Amino acid sequence: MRNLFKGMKEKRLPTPLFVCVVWVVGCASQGLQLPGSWLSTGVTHPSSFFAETLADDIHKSIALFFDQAGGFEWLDHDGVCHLGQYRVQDGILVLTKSQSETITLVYTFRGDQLQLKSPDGFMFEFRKASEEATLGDKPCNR
Amino acid sequence: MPVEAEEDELKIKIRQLVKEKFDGDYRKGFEHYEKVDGEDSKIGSSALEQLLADANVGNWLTRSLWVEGVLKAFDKEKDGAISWDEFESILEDGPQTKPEQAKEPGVDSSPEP
Repeated sequence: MRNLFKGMKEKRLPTPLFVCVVWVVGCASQGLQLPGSWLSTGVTHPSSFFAETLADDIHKSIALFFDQAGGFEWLDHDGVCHLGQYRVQDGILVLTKSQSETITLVYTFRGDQLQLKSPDGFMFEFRKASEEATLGDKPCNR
Repeated sequence: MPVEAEEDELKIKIRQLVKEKFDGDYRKGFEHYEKVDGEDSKIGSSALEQLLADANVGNWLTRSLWVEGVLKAFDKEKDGAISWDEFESILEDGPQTKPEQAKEPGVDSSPEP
């Protein structure tokens, strides 16, 4: 913090300005965690209606990719690719495919894990892909 | 065995779809989706996915999981498709309408401008 203000006149920062800067950085860092490649570790749903389905699919993997420009790719467990735009809004992740539905997902980070909860109750869990997977390694291009 | 809320939601939304799009004629609705992927007298998984989309069940991320759930629950013949008898069993019994519930952040079907 001292280096940040090196060269400036010795002066206390006004408190509201300091708080404003910290808030902006905090919000920006939440959005910055999404870009990159993610691989699913599991899909769950509280209803027993999907118990057999999710037990069968437990070995299958969903690949998810967010770029820095607001684009995403979602390669589902059937090998179907979904492309579109994403934005983060008040702790909610909004995914939009062109000419299609907009989906609002509640997202949370737990260490290197990302959880996405869909409106119909499915919980998708992802872990960050290995360091070898670069921002250019899009799942739909493989 | 208690019926899950998802099963009720499925019944209500498919009934609503048939009412709005097929004049309440379940046979007409079945035959419409039977033709989608060319299955003989059955609704295959692709057609089922279309049916669920038309009925506003799930979203493009979860619809394939809904298809698998429906097949697991109602495909008694285990042939990966829904016959007329199995289709009828989806629609029988269950509530006619869903009680009002508080909405979570959800799906907006209107396309982006």
